[in-house]
Amino acid sequence: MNDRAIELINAEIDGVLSGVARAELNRLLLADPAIRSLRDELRRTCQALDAVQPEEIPAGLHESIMSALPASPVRRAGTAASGRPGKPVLRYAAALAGGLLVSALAFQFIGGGSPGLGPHELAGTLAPERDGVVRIDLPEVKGQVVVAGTATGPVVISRLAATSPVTVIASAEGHEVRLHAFVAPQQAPIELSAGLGKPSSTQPIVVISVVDAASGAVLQTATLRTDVPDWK
Amino acid sequence: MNDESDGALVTRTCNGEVGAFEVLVRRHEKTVFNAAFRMLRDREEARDVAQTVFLKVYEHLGDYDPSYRFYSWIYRIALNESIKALQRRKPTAALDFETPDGAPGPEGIYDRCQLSDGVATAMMSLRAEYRAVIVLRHFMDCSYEDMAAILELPEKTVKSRLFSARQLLKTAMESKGWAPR
Repeated sequence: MNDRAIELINAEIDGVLSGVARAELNRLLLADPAIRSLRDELRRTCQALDAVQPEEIPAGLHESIMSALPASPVRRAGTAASGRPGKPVLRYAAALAGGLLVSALAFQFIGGGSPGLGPHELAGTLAPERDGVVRIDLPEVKGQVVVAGTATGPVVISRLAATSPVTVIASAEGHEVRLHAFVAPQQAPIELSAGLGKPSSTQPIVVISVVDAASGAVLQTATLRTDVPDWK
Repeated sequence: MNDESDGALVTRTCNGEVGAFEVLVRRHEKTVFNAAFRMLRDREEARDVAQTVFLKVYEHLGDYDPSYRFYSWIYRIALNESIKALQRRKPTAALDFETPDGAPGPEGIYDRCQLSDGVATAMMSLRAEYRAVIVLRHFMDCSYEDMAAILELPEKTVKSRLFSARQLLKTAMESKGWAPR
């Protein structure tokens, strides 16, 4: 198969074939059955590609983007970038046995401990309502999740009361922490905390998801940015 | 519907109007998400990538050169972030190429839905640079010129890569008996 034929076939598929080039392609098609066959197959492949329907965007994507924007982030031209956003990774596979259970399980792919610091130690976090705090007010779960910037990295603190098992998944830059919590609704929320490890950025983005442990359904998501003071 | 140009919205955002950036997000979020989804074939990862893309854009909006198309810039970031997400996966994950559940054998005839699934699955067998040109051309409707700008490659290279990608995709589909009829 000559390269010219392939170029002409693709130009035809992309709708950029000129009159002269079309005549050239027609001559090649008439002369060579292999070219005709290739052209038909490629056209069908591209038609199949073009028939693929766009995916609908996930619910809440727009809101999570807007809520994560820093207060004054726009750099002026020529200003060196001082850090990069993290790469939040969400995983909603959650399974938890029923019953009265309070547990905290931290799966840290890399790094740090869990100092369990309070929200007063937050610095520069961003959230829709209050810095570093995600408020949960759903029929099945109420309370809050706090992300604290500490010297050892972001620490996630959940204070939730739920009618059925829920999992708080917090992720930042490949680190992930899961806090599994279930307390009877009449009981006060119980505090759980875990560290996300040392980030590469001083302003890691932390993605928080509250997930129904049984079904894996995402009940609420939020994105926060924390300042991590001098973790090195 | 806000018909203000991307460039004007960028300027307003740089002047402190967050609402202008929200218009940009609404305008481009579906395309950015779909680009990431077609690269990754994972909605959650695509969501994460889309979020990261807009945060990066917002943070670096002051560096944006208005002599270039805004969407070229944002799409380039989307592809780069998608490729980084692929690199973070375990080695086998990016190369999954299994027959979809319930797929007919080589002699099977696909309806539209099955064919779409076959195309999407076959795409995942392509290397990222080939998948990227397919995504840009067929899912983001980019011209050769746009693709060259986004990928920062000569137009000739882009065309050559696109043609190769299509043939590889065709071969991948044929090898699984998913050739469209």
